[in-house]
Amino acid sequence: MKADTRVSGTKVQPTRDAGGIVLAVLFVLLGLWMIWESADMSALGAVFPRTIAAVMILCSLALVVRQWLHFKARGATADGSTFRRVALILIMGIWVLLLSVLGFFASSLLAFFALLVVANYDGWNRRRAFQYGGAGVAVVGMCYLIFVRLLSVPTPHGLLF
Amino acid sequence: MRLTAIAVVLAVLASPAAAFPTKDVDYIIPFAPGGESDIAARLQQPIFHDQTGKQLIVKYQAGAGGAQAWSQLNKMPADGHTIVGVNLPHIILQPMQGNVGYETDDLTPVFWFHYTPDAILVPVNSELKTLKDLIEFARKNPGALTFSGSGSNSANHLAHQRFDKLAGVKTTYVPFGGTAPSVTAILGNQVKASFGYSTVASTQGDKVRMLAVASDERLPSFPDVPTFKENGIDLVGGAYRGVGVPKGTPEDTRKQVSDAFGKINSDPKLIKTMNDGGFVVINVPYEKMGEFMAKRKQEISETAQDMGIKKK
Amino acid sequence: MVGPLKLADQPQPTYPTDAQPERCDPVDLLPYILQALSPANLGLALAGVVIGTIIGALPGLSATMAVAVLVPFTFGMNPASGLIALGAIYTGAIYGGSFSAILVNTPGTPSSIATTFDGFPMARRGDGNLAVTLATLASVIGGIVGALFLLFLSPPLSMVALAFGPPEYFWLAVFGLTLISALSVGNLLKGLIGACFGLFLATIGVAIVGGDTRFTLDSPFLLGGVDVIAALIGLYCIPVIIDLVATPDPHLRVALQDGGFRLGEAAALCRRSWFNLLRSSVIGTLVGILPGAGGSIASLVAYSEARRSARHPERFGTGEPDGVLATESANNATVGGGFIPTLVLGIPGTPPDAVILGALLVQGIRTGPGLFTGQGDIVYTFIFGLLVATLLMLPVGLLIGRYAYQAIIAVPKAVLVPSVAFLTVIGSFAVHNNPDDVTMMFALGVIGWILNRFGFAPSPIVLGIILGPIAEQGFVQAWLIGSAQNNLLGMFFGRPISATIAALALLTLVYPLIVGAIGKRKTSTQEMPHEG
Repeated sequence: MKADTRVSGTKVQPTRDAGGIVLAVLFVLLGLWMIWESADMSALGAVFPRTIAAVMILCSLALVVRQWLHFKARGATADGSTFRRVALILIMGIWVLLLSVLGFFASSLLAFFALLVVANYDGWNRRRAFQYGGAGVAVVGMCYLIFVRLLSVPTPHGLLF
Repeated sequence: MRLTAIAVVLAVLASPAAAFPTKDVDYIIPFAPGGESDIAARLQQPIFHDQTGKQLIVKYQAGAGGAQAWSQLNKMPADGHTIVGVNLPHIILQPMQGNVGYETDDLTPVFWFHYTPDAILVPVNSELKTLKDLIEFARKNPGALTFSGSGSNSANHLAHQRFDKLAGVKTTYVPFGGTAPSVTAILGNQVKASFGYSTVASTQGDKVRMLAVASDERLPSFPDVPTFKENGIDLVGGAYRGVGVPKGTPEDTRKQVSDAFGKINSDPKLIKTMNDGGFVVINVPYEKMGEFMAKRKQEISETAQDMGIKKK
Repeated sequence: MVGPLKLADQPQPTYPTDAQPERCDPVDLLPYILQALSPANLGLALAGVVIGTIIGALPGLSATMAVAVLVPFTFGMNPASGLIALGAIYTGAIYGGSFSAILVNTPGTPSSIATTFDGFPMARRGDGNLAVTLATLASVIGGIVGALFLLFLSPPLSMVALAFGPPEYFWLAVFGLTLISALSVGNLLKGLIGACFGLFLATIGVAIVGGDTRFTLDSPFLLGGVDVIAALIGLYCIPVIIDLVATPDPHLRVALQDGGFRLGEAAALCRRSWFNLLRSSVIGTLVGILPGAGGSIASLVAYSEARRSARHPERFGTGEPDGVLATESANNATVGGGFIPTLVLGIPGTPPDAVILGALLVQGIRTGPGLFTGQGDIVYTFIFGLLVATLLMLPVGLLIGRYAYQAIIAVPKAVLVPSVAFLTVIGSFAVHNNPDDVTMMFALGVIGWILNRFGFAPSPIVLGIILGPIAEQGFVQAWLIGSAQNNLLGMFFGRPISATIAALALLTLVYPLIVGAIGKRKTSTQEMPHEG
């Protein structure tokens, strides 16, 4: 089980694994918070969180020490458009928040179109817009029919559908 | 002139005294398919259809032990055609433990149709053959008698707590992740006994023995099992199931839903199936709701306080 | 509004009180075989397998969701047919999960997590169609083994389910956690931290033991805790689409070989690894019998065993066919195995079994050993139907596999990204019909992407979420019982089964160190591409 299972290419720069160190520090903080919160819990309920926190803190500290000392080529930066990545995250974030506001399928349809724009590298012409837009309507529409009409799944209604 | 006449006629026609139901009713079950609430709903479905000509459409909305659906209840359409399954002690216990998204008084139960009485179960080859044996054992070995049950601060746990207090013994409650693991534990002799429901005895048949049941009278399908009351322990209760509506539902409609379920609940075939399964059919209609809920709240808060359940 | 289809009148639920003891002759089984092969049941089996495979293959949709969403559909059918339909969907979805695991590195269902270890590397080097065919053959074999155990050995095997008490579950979970660390070779610390993070996520919500509300920041949203499927979808699928969107490169940089199914090659590999297949299937069946343990644990244990006993263990994780064979046969064996406690004890063996059990109860079927004698026609027809469905997976899988493979490449990325995103949204929603699950899925997805970028793989996290509750409940329950009996040490260390599992856990921890030491001596010049 290898950690770096991404498909896109990576440029490897000989730096410290800065990201890994930062994350390890965050995990230490998480562990400390867990221990602090567990003070309010009953004895039975606190055992596990405290044990996990202890292991997490130990391992994270060990990681920080090891990465700091080893000047290893680990700081892989991903190439590719950061802008599109952030756009995708923002669109999905808004989508998830709007599910109950606008309605499950309404917000999904809008998000689909927005993501089409973000994910398209081949330029736009009228034909492509119709094809892709049509695909979006087809996918979302089919799921609407199956889940709502056929299976009576209670999807959030919100304002629209 | 004509316009006002039409307006008056329309107003009269549109009065909320229209018969219930006027269309299919959405019946939201706040748990996963297959639980007791679901089975009850499935049994009620065909009877509802026969009596009213309309469908009861069961929809599942599980989450946070029911809290997810209950916290959304008042946002749902309030025309009486969206009803939700409600459960005791859940709707009283959950808000007592923290912020679950609703308070007990936010919910509007309109009818309670059955309860599954708490019961003590032991494996069929256990040396504890009667409730007296069990209490004796508990008295001689304080803390050694292990009871499995579903969850902490749950109906099973409450029943255990009350039992210990009323019988004057000290036993150990071992919480499991649900009724099924709790039953596995006694079948496998991992624990000595289990605090569960009468329905478990029904489904497990001759692999378990029910020592006592927390109902007013002996259950028709288990005539050999004494009640706690007979043994001098005033333990009556269990998990209650009913239906509720969103707060905004008008008074008349609430009464109509209550009456509709009352009618379903008096169907003799339904009663027989329920009894065979270990359920106790009760009828708590909307008129009696205030008194019923007040009593339950008092009972449950008392026990909860003993257990130290409080909002943090 | 359409209610569920009524293929037959809804039967009146009954609670039969007695079971009639009957001797079971193999000849008596013949009518049930024929019934299972009736056009209606055959059709249901085929439809179920097709639907299940497609659902499992789509990233974002899971076996649990498939069963949960389609169960109400079966309420109108007669019990045996309804069971066959559900069983076919279930086994198809478990199998289908291998597609998305191999081709997209997003396991369709927790059972397929271990398939990504070797399946995805195989796809990346161009052996994707071989991997899919191997998965197909392995799934069929595993499914048949599990179904055969179900058919002939259910009552005695259900006793195994009962012999597992809290201490056994605790050690089993510990074993699972040691497996995770053993598998994170070269990245041990990050793997452990990931597992701890997963364990932490599992503690969020209301504790079963103690009843405390933990780490919920006093919000109703976190009260329900972290749903496993939502976490699975988020941690695997979201990072994939985030990275998909970033470059114009095609998704799988593979040579467009139309080598077809490579069936002959796959069959030869299977013949050569017949012991691995058999062992993994048995492991899968046994783990499936344990209520609460599912395909994820089964495939993990089978994979680790396959690796430990292989001639070249270091090849595992780089695209070793034996890895795929082990995981896929184990996880489909859990289907049959999981039905054993479900039918005999009324206790669900795996999470989808809980939903299926509900369907059984609604149909009025009383589970128990009496089921095999008193309502044998339903049970035996169902088991044979399951066998038929498993066999059907072979042609169905190969056909769908071919088109799945082409489809991933052919669909323009602009449409692929939003489609997969939509699938993740609906896939996480429909498990419990809870929009909060979608939010959780997405939040974990973003976190998972950040973590993965810096070397923290998603598998340990998800496995931590799955194993956490098992470990914790097992520990606390064993503690309570042991204290009540004044036998704490004996409780944890004195029971034969748990002692065996604990020993296995220890062995797993120690073994890689031995292998690593030997490996260093052998390959001192070879640089490992990934070093923590």
